[in-house]
Amino acid sequence: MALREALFIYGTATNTGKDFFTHQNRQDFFLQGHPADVWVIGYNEKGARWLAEKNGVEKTKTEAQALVDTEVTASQDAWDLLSDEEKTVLSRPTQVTLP
Amino acid sequence: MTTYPQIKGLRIKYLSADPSGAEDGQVWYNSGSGNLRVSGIQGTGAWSSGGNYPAPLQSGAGFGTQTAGVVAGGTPPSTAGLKTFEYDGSSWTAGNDMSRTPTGSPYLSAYNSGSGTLTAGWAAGGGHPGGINALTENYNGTNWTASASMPASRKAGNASGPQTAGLYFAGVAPGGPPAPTQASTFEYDGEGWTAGGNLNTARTNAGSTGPTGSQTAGLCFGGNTPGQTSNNEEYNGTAWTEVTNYPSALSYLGYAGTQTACIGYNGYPGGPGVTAKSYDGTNWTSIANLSIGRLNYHQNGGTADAAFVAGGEATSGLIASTEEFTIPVETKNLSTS
Repeated sequence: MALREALFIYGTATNTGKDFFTHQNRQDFFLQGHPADVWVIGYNEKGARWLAEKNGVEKTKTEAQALVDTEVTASQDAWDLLSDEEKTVLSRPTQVTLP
Repeated sequence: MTTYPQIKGLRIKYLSADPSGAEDGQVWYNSGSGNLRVSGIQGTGAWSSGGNYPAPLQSGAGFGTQTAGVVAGGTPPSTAGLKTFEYDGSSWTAGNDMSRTPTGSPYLSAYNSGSGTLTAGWAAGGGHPGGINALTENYNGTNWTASASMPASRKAGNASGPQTAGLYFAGVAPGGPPAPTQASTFEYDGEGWTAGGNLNTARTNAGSTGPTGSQTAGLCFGGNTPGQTSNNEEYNGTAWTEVTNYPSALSYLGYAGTQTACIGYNGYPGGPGVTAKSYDGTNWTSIANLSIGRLNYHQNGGTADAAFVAGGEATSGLIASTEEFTIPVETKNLSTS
């Protein structure tokens, strides 16, 4: 409980593809994916169970935000090294504030 | 309900359990549960994860259905380029490369758009980052074959409809910066092109009817003019008409469906966004959000009740994840009160 914020559970889990989250999961709880395999999950029993079943690692909001920030910063650094031509087809990654 | 046989002209079957393979609209009495039952009722639509695309990409051409889909071309050139991957509703399998005749350059497949089915698909336009082209290719489920070029070079426009009666509209032409957005419509018969009516609002990166659209019933909503627009127009085979705008001014929308049953989703700005809307030919209604925000570059397919989107550009760059939208068909209890 100490790790959880009021509305959401924060955690990391690798998106393994098909059925990583199901139609039923999406009806059972809020779910939002972010960089660095960070997931913001609705704070209820089914959401918590989903993270555990996906071998996820629960994080505090601060920890999750730090992971996202690090990933986005690395992506920004990589974008800055692209050629001018390549920059015309990719947007510079932008920082995200987790809900 | 005692009048049902008189109204329907049929007696209700008295069954101990729900029958397998019930038809839409079939009614029966389940003596096990004591409920009057009906099959074929639409459930609540939601997004679920699909099989991850083999590599992160954007600006490929998506078409086909949720269980027989295709994404071809796109960028980056090294991992997307001319490559084709087919989707069976669970995983992606490599197909044969696009030809992009005459040069075969992988840079010619970025920002192309496609439509049709797995075994009768087509893709047109594109070009990365300059060199916008008019190349058109047909896909037969195995190979890509060069077809007649579009009347003009375009990229980031919309392809809709089947291979033998398709539309390509909007997009940008060579020039700029900024690249000049286009209002033109080209009609495709699988072998050649003719000019159609112009959109009232020139744009690129728009949402539209997808593979299930037709040459006489197209839709084009949102996009860049170059700023984001919510404008929505319908095509009747001759002219575009202004209809109910998309609820937000967004570009890089995902889309699927027909002129009277269409969905739009994702988009920029706003994240990239995760919202989704459904259109019935008159009004837009909010439907379930996606889990992953992405800028969509036409790497989508399916129908308004069974759609897919793969890859795209998320907050930290290109992604490979796939999401599927499904409205399940369910069996429900009928109330007799």
